Amino acid sequence: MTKISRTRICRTVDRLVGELEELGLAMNRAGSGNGAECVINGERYKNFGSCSYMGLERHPRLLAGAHAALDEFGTQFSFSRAYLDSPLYLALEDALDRLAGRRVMVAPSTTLAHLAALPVLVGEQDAVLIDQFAHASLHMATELLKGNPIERVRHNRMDLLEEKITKHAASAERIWYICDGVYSMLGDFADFDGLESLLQRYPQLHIYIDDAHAISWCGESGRGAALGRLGHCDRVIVAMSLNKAFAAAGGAIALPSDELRSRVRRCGGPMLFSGPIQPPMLGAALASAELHLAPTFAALQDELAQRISVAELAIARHGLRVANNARTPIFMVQFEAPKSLYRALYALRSRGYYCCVSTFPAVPVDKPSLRFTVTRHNAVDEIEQFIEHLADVVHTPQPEQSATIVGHPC
Amino acid sequence: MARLFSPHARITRITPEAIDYYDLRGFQEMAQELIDLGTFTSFYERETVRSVRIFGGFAHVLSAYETKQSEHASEPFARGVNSLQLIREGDGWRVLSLLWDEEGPSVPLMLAQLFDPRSPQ
Repeated sequence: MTKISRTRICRTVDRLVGELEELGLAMNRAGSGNGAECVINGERYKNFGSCSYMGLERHPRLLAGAHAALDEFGTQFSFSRAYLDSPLYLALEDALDRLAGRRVMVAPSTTLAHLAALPVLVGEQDAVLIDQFAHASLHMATELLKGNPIERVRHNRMDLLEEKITKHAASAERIWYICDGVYSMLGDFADFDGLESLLQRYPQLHIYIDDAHAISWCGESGRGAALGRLGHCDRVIVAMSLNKAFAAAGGAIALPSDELRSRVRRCGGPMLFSGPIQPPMLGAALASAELHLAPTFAALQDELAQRISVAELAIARHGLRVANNARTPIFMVQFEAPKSLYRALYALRSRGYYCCVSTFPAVPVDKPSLRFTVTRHNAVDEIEQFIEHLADVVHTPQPEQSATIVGHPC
Repeated sequence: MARLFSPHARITRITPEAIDYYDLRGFQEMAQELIDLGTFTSFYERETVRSVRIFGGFAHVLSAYETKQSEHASEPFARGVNSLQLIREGDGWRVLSLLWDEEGPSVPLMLAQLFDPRSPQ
């Protein structure tokens, strides 16, 4: 599909990320931190950049689970899962089955889950449509689908998706649409209503959703957005993350049947030859799954929901424009040019706040953005103070820095 | 584009990684690919300075530009200079060559110097 060469893309990305690194805005090294704060180059910042939305990485039950697994199995369980499975895997998959309401297969990471599942799920006669802003790991996985027609669809444009479904309906056995449940940069949801309507009208349509950024903070027992909205449909496959808000390690795929789960497990390359998640993190993941299944978990989700509401109200109060109004812990403020974005980030750092730069290739060249997140680590008053500072920085011209304009996309 | 460009036109883009050479169709395919990839979602280019030299049936145009999200954006996200060769074909002028380079850390954009006819360069 792509005519721009891989080497060319690599060189361009190398240059652009290198420029951000020189500006001190990427490839930063953290010191110790507690989630609410992070230390960079000896300076302490309020942390508004973490994906640990539920703030569970130091939860006593997760720490105890990791310690217990370490004591029992040591630092590693060095077998391919094709030969010998740690009993922790079986316990974890059983807990995740209950959490997801489906058969779940755990993978070493969400990326490896995509690489394992998509070549098994997508048949040779199938067509593949993918949202242009789907996570990079999904685009990477579709590179394995040699021989399948693959087309990109403008972000969340259900009308254009339907056009392409219609176009491929006569020639393709099945049509796969690949997207995110919550988009990692924009922080918006997939158009679940639109997708449900298309699923009802096009029996050939199958959907593969990477819901990594919605797991844990969203949905019943933290099963995410996609399973909550489309989990009843057997033509929907959902990839999950056991990192991020889940606060452990690995990825998982929620599949509609035992038969499909077994096939991906037996045939998905990384499921056979990649190393397993190691015991301490399996122990943490199992403890996290049990925490999610406990009746008290909803109260923790409510704590984050309250913080998201506080952020939304502060954004409205200060007249700050964000990229969309989705109720997620990911917020994006778009700038007209990289220079003004860099100045804003420097200004926020000087006021003691860390949040993330988001420029091409993470986002389009014309949408340089400041990405910030809200987690359970952030105190309510700190969220309000941060957004007050952010609005001040955005609305007040910041002094010139040494930042240079970054141009030349691939 | 076909009305603006000669059928013999070449479009050349200089980037830090490579020089890209296109004919009209190749350029259109590349631009479409960048849109499909999501590399660009909006694009507005404005000329900021121009100098023109004409001799007989050809002209050379040096044209500085700035690229913005939209017409109303106050700050450009990229700037650079287009070099155009125009040729008089039949009823009017058409672009025979469009070549551009963009401002960057190693390519400072010094418009006053570039567009000053007394400049020694």
